[in-house]
Formats: sequence, structure tokens, C-alpha cells
Amino acid sequence: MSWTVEQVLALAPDASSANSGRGLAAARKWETLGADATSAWGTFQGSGKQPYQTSIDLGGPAFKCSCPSRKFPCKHALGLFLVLVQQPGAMAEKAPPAWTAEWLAGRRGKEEKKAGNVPDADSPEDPQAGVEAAAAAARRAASREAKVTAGLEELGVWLYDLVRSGFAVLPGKPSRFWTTPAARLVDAQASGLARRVSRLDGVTTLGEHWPARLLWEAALLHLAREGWTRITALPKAAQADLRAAIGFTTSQEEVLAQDGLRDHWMVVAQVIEEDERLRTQRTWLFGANTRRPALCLSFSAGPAQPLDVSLTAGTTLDAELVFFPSAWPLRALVKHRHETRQPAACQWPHRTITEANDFAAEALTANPWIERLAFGFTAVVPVRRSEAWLIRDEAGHALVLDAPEEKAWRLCSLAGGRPVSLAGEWNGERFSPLGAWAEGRFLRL
Amino acid sequence: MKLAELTQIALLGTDRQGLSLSPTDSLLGRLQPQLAPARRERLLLSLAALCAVREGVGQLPVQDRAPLPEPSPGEHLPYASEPANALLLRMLAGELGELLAEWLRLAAAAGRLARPESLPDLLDTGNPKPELRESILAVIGRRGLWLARQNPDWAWANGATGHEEDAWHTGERALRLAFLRSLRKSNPRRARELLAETWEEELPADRAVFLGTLEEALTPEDEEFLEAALGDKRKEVRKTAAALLARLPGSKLVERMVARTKPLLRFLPGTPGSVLKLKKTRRASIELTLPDECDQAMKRDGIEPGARQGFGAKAWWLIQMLEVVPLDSWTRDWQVSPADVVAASQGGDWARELLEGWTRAVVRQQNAAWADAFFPAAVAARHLDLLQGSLAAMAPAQREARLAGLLSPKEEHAGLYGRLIGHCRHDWSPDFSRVVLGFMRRESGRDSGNWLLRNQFNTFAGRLAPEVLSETAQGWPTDSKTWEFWSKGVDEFLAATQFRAELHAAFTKRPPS
Repeated sequence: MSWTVEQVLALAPDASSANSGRGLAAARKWETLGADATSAWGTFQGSGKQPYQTSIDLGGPAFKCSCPSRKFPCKHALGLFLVLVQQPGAMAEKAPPAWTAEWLAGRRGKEEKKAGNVPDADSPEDPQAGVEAAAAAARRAASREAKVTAGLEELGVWLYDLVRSGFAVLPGKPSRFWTTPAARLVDAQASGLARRVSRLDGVTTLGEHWPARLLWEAALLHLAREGWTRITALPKAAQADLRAAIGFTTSQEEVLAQDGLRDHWMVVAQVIEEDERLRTQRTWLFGANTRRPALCLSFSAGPAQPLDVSLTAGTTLDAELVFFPSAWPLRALVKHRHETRQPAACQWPHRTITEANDFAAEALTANPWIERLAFGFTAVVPVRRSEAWLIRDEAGHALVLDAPEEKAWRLCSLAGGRPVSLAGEWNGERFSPLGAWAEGRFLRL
Repeated sequence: MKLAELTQIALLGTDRQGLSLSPTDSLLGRLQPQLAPARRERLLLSLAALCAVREGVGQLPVQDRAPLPEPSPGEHLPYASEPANALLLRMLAGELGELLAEWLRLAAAAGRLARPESLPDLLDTGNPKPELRESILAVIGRRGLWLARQNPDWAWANGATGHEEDAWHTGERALRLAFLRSLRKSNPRRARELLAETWEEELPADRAVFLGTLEEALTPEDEEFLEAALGDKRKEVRKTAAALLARLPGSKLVERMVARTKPLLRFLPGTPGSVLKLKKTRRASIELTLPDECDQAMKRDGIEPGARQGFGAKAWWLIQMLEVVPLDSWTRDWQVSPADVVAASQGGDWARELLEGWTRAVVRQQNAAWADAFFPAAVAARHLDLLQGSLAAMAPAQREARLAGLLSPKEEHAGLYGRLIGHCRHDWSPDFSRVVLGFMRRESGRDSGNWLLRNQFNTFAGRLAPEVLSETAQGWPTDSKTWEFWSKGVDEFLAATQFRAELHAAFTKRPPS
């Protein structure tokens, strides 16, 4: 596939890395440069004695650099990538040097192993040790469940208090009124519900409909609590959804052990949300043939922990995906990737707003804990109305946009008053546009 | 049963408000017996959960019945290439924004349009930078005009109209000033009329600033208004008006100044010596009488009465008078060339005063012939302000030739003259670009601490001839002791020249078919 400067810069872990990367995006700054069809490499004289050796696997993309930076990809990798994109003629060497070739071979070997499910060489073979480990794990699980039970019991007391004394007394409550129960849930290892409670801080300032919004949230918390008391009676898939909503995680190995679903997965949108401590990247995909949605999450707790950069909005990958257990499977992992390419045209799944609405209804019916979904429209027109920006389909159905003015105008300009293909996130109330196909090009918004 | 009804109960609290449920709702009626009825608050939350999920699932999209806006018409020109587009987006995001004007110029020359994703930012740019408006309009195509019609912030793109004049009557000071400046470019007469309309109500402090906008497209038509402003209470206003009138060669103010000044100067032609040495050779000279007084009329015409800049009061009056009197009138009256005047003025007692007055006149009157004639004298006096002004008055080729002489490796004071480079605001020729490059390379091997020069490197990068952009990377004194100081400036300079090289390549390279 061919990359653009914008796509490369989107890989930067933060703005300062992007800038430093740009600073190195000049062929003259590099000692050697080279590229072949699947990789690029270069050496850069930094402040160290030895020049840094930087390699890129274009198939990922994946990066390796001998510099001491803890950012990933580092500025050298970004700079090298930019040189490749902007001055391809400068990539003089044609055969990868040993340090690049070895790294590439190592990577490809690992991927094959992952795909072929070859067990790790260091997996425990002693059956006795296995039994003991399993027993310890079961003890840990039981203790955590007991903690969650106690935490949810406490949450219930708080919730019922809210409803008994009435929401009218809530405006003006200090922040800790909301953050204390949230913190208690964190202690109880119910981080998913803790997040929902902490989000309520400030709810009374959110316009005249705040009591309805609060009741909605309180009701779902109550639902989680009630569900937990009788979780064994629920269908397996519903159990998984409830556990995920509470904050239990499923091990990736377990998920990856399943058979993958192969399709041409269109990466329709990607968004990074920053919290005080955590950056969460949501990447939304749709299967071109199966029409199924998938959500790949990546988390970063700091510059040393990079977000996954292997999925780029606007590209399509021929890959096998595996889904986390759910009544309406959505969250997924890439199990094996065959090929990435830049599609020539958009084939997003939702032809009308009604179709998208039905899709959301189906999701929510199966899993009430879903907080947001991606829609990928084939043809909607952005329109500006006095009260808000809308997108509208042929039938005149509309969704209210959640976008800053700047972004809304850019979208309006891209469309020029005609239908465009548009992908974004739906949170049940508003649609946040993230990427568009207009006049044969994909653009991040 | 609806979430809204339950919300009413929750707002007051179940302690105060009973829970009366009508089992008319089929789904809830069926499910209600299954809900633990033990406590009212739990029942309320259970019902709310059912309603929340049901209402979430059952939500219908809104209907938008208003007519759709007319779509934008198709473009008549092709879009700029992807590399050109990528560079534009980088500049609009803040990187090397000072090169935006060049992108716009290149795109317009190539007949290419900016792609739709850049249009809102380009239209925004036209607000704080009216000087770019014309070139922005050339690249935004029909889509840009279509877009601008929908956003009052971008009204400028659809031409200054009567509607825009509201900005003049109701806007804030900065907006009014920007509006007046841009209107003065497109419709100078209307701009002056608008200013005259509100003149009496303007704050004294604003008058001088607004009046200054008449500098653009100044014509004899403006004289009457300016002449009236000479009687203003505020000194800044009078000064501005006088300065503008002095730039109108036929104005009454200039005529008055000529009448005052002409009797004070006399050109005495030289006489060749005779072979028999009965008569000595006498060089041409200028006989000068200083004015006696600075009367009210002179003050009204903008003459500052006090002594200034190391000149006595009378000498300073004369300098200010010389500044206004049309230079060509001296050569015409005396039937000599500017070079003759220079030669005659430089021998006598008043050499310094005449040089100061006439070079000021050169600057104000933008007289290239006189500028060139006075240049050597200004160099000899090492008077940077005069040099700068004289260079500004010259045509680009002449300016480059004169400054190139001062920047040569043989010139002892080249470092000093380096400060003049920044004042050469035209697009440099390849030869002159190489002269400046050579100068930069030499200077960056010298003392550190020349912030003035280092900070200008970036400006130089924007003026270099495109042909020279590929020659900038090599030849820097990277081994010198002071390199650490210079390298930052040079790195920025190289980044900017490389950016410009990419910019030119993006518009000249044939796109792959």
C-alpha cells in the first residue's frame, strides 16, 4: 500500500514525536537509506557513538531502532518513514542490511508461529505443576469474585439511597460524592462500573435532562448489580458481557485460541481518547463480506507503552479476526494478517440511517452494556441547521453530529452538498464523524 | 411506562413519592411480576433499566424536512497534486506558515486548486491576513465560494459588499481597521468616503491609525481630505496627514514646501581651471542658507520644531523640508544629474545635513536614480538607516548589485551590512541568493552571539531563488568553534529551504499518470 505523510504522522505517540520525526524527514540527515517492497531501513548519526539503526516492516507497520528512546515509534522511525513517503528516490540501497533482515525474519517467524498455534517452547510440561497452577488460579478468581460481590453490595446501598432521597438534592454535591463510590469500586476490582460511576461526576450540570440521564446510568448500574447476584443463571454469552462490563478481563491467549474469521476487514475509523492516566485507542472495522463489525482496543499508560499502530483507518486488511465472547461479538483481536491494501473505493455497510439504527438496536438488544458503535454510511449529506449540524440520508432521516465547528465545516467542504461515505462513532445520542470517502479519497476527520 | 415518568419519581425520591404503576404496558406488565418487589427504590431502578434499554433500542432517527442546500457546482480547474496538498495541510497546521503565500502563488500560476479539506482553514486565514485574500480566492475554486456563502465569518470571500460595511459601523477597532485596509485595496474612494463619514466620531487616538490606511492607493483625490486633517487637534493625525500629502508630488503642501525651500539652496557650477593657472579649478558646490524660523504654517505642514538626531533645530527643519521637495525638481531647476548634486553636496560645510535630507527624500519619494547616486555617500558615512532606505527605493536588480558589493568577502564591514539583507523584500535572483548564501556560510564560522543575523536565517530561506534551494545543504563551517550557536539557525534555515524545494517540486513535477 502507499502511505501518506498524514498517515505516517498519525502513528506518532504524541505531538512532540511527530514534530521531531518531521525534523528528521530529510534524506540529507541520514547516513544510509534503503528500501525494498516490504521494508525500509536507514542509519542515523545521533548523539551516541554508533549511528542508530532504524528499520521498518511495512507489512505491520512495525518499527525497530537502536536508539535509547522510550517512545514508540521513535522519531528516527517516523523520520525514516517520512523520507520513504516523501523522497522515495533517496532510498538508495536495495537489499536490506543484516540487522534489518534478521529482525524481519524474527518477526515473520513469530507471526507464523502465532498463526500455526505452535505451543510456546517454555510452556509447562510437568502435569503436577499444571494442576497446582490451576488450583492457585481458581483461588485467585474466587477471592476476586468475593471482592466484586462485596463492592456491588456497597454500590447498591449508594444507588438506593440516591433514589430514595431523590435526585433533586444532588446539584451542588461536591465531586467526592461521586468519586468516592467510584474509588470503592476500583478497590473492589470492578473497574468497568467504577468508570461508569466516575463519569457521573458533574452530571447535574449537563442541561435540563440530567435527571433522566442519571436515572439511565443508575438503572444500568443496578442492572449490573442484579445480574451479578444471579450470574450463573444467565446464558454463557450474557455472563461474558456482564463480566466485561463489571471489569473482568478475558485473557488474549484464550481469545486467540479460537478459530479466526477471515474477511477483508475495512478499517473505517480510529479514535484515541485520553484520560488522566490512560490513552485508549478504538479502531473500528467492518468485514467486507460478512458485514460484521469489530472493535480493536489498544491501551497505553504512558509514552513507554505504545499504542498499536498496525491498523490504519482507510485501509483494508485481509485477515483473520477472533472475537471476545459476547452475546453480540464486537471486541476483537487480529489473529493473522494476510495482506493490507489501500482500497480503491468505499464499501461501507450502512446504506441508510434506518439501517444503522436497526444495527444499533440489534446490538443493544443483545448486549445492553455496549456504550458506542461505529456506523459506516455509504451516502449521507452533512447539513447545517440553525440548532446543529446533521447528517442526512436520502429518506430525510438524520443524526445529530457531535463535532467541533472546525471539523463540521471540513466535512461540509468535503461533501460540497453531495452525499459522501462517512464513518464515525454513535454513542446513542450523537454521531461523531471520524473518516470520510469523498471523490475517491479517504480522509481522517 | 416511560423513563420520563420514572424520572419524575426519582427526582423527588421514593421516600416522598409513591410508585403507582399502570400495568397497561404490555412488555412491562408481563415482566413486572418477575421483578423483586421488595423495596420501592429497587423496583424503580429495575423498571428504569427495562425502560432505558427499551428506549435505547427503540429510538428512531429524527426527520429533517428542511430543503437541502444547493450542492456546490463542479470545478473548472484540477486539484493540486497530493504532495502539494500534503504541504499545504502542514502549513495550515502551523508548520512554516510564512510560506503559505508561496504555495498560493505557485498553485495559482499552475492553475491548480486547493483540495476541499483545506478550504475552511484557508478561508479562516483570509480574516487575519487580508493581504492573502486575493491569492486565496484564486485557489479555493467554486467549492470554496460555495462554502464561504454559508458562513458569515468568511463573507470576505464573496466580495466586500454593503453588508460588509456594517463591520465598519459596528465592529471592534481591529476589525474596522482590517476592513478599511482591505476596502482601500479594492475600492480606495469608498474607503476614504467611509472614513470621512465617521471622522468626527472617531476617538482621537484612532484617527491617525485609520488615516494611515490611505497610504495604500494614495491619489490626488485624497488631498482635500488630508489637507483638512492637517488642522486636527492631535499631533499624530497632523503628522500622518502631512506625511501622506508629502507623497503627492502635486499637492498644495508640496508646493508650499517647494516655495519655502527653493530660495535656501543655490547650485554653484564648477569651473575648469585655465591652462595658464590664472584661475584655479573650482568644484561645483551648493550654497545653503538655513531657515530662520519655524512658523505656524510650517508646523501645520508637519515640520517638527525641536532639534533632533544630533542636528541643530534649524538644520533639522531644513532636513525635513528637503525630504518633501520633489528630488527631480532640483535636477530640473539646476540642469544637472543626481550624481552632480551628490558631488556638489559632499564637499561643503553642509554635507551631512544635505545627505540626511536627500536620502530621506529618496526613501519617501522612492526615487531610484537618486538612491543610486547617493548610495556611495551613505556607505562612506556607514549610515545603516540611510542605506536601508536607499536600497528600498531601488529596483530589485540595482538593489541586489549594490548590496552584493557590500557583502563581498573582501568587504571589511560585511558583517555590519548583513543587517540590510533582511530589508531586501523582493524575490532574490539566483546570483544574489548565492551571494547571501556565501555570506551566511562565512558569518556562521565567526563569533557566536549574533542573534540578529541568526534569527533572520528563516526569513532568508523564504526569499532564496528556487533554483538555489538545492544548493543550500553543503558548505557550512560545521567544524568551527561557534558552530553550536549557529547550527540551530542553520537547521531551521535548511528545513525551510527543503520545504520550499518540495513545494516547487510538487508543482513542477509531472504527476505520475
